[in-house]
Amino acid sequence: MKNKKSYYPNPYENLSNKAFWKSGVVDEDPLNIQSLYKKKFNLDQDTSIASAGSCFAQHISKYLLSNGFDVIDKEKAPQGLPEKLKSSYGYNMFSARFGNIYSVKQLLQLAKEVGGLLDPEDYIWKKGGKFYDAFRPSVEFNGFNSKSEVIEHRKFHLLNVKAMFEKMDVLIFTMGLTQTWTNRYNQLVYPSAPGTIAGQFNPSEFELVNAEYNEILSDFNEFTEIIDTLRRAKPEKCKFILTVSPVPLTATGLDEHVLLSSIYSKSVLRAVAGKLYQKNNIDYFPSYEIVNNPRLEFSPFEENLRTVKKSTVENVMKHFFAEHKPLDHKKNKPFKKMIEVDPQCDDALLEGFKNC
Amino acid sequence: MKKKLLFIGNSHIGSLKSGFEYIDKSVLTNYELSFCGVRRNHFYKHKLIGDILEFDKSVTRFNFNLQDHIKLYDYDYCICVFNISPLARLKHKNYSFYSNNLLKRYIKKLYWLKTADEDCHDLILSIYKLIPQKFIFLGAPLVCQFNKKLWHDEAFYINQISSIRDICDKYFSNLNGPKILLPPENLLNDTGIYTKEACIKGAINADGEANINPNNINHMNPEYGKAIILELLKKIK
Repeated sequence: MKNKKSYYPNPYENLSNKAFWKSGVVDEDPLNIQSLYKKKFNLDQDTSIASAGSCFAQHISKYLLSNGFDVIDKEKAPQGLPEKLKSSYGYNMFSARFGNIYSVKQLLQLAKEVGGLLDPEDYIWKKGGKFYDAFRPSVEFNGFNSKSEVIEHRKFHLLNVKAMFEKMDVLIFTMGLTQTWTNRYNQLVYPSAPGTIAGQFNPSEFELVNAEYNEILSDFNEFTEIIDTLRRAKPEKCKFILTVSPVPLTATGLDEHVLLSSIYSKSVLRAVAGKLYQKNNIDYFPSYEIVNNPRLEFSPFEENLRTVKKSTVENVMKHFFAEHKPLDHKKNKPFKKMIEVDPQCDDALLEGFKNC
Repeated sequence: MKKKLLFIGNSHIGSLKSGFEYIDKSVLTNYELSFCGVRRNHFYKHKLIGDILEFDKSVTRFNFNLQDHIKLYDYDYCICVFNISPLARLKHKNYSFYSNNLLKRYIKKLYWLKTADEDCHDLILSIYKLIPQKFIFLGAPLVCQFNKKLWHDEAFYINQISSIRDICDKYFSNLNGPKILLPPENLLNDTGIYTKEACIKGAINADGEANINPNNINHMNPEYGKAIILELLKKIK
């Protein structure tokens, strides 16, 4: 039998502009990239949104709040406290006062603690006669006056995080780092190296772990299982919007160049986010790509090449709000820009430890 | 020489003025008390020029033992009376659980004074800055409406009350902080922040006259005012 010869176009022939580097990037306005982000699900006035993650996530939650979204804030600052001090004390940053959560392992650890699956010891660090909660040392920058005060405040904090997990419909989580300081004996992880904000470094007790793809993926999946259990009273599964922080590492704890560590870290996190995006209830918002777009005609960073410029943050959020329309603005009106306090980044402290 | 005490503030001055009338005069031989009450938040319409508190002509005020303007430097103590205090902040629905260090800063810098009425806050702050050693803030009482449970655990709530009281007590006897007099515990109900119902019966207005509106439960009676003044005298003795 003679086969009829069919004509198939080559796989690139009928693709849209977004598929080609020239039309999608080179010829595209970097401040208004078409088809870069398509939302998987809606955020409306009934959606309770929680936010957590690295310091870049602070921008996202503030923008959402000022544009009418229901962003959970379970631990509010006392009324009348100046804005700058609110951030210094870990308020107004995320949906509870957990400070920066740089790694997925840290997020999982918090969920385990909230879910009663972990009862950690050794989480109180000292410095200058003051006591710190090692899992969120920067939220009380002058430290607590006693160990018992740290314990009481952690108890209160966990009750609020539990309430946040139970209430949230969507969690926006910004993944920041793969390098995590870990206790060798009990595998507890910390957001900052012992000896920086507080505590004392002892190499026989602490080690730097550079998490790999499979481990991070498995940690996030375990985290979502705990959230499902905590939210079993809710009819719908929790949804997630993942982002990767575009902020490079301040310092690497590995014996390699910081540029290598930084690119490795972001690449692994981006790959994990890509894999998780395959799930129906997990969306990925490309803030990392918007900031690192080579088409930008200006540096997206301040002089230190780490701090993301305010104009860059605005550009990122413009792309977000193109899909998730601000709730308190009429159609076609621009989203509300923020006059915000600089985000609190604990790892920026590491700069001060460099021997010149 | 008699110590001169000036009470200025809103309608809560009324119960203090009336309470003063009930105090045994032998207790007051070393003191000379003056009162200036202004209804609601109209107090901020006054102007502070140097150390002179100029009255706004449009505002009705109730004075006792005072001239048309007040020279603050002439007094040993200036007692500001308003319906807010660090303790009263606990009734706010967004009140969280704060560390001792944060509470100290919050109380010392008078951040708790900040309300929607910024003008009033600014005037009180200006008086404090002018005469910090002579300034006493007397948080007026809260009426008993507290039934809603705001706290996950009562222990956190009790902890905050005790921390706030402790900090205010220390600052009162310390030159480095503001003097804030909180209502004594025996005048408060089980909540630790709201006044006992018994203190409301026979409440007094800003002008020191009996409040005839039975629905107005925002003011206290002379017994309450008397107890507060005696507590104040004990503190500054």
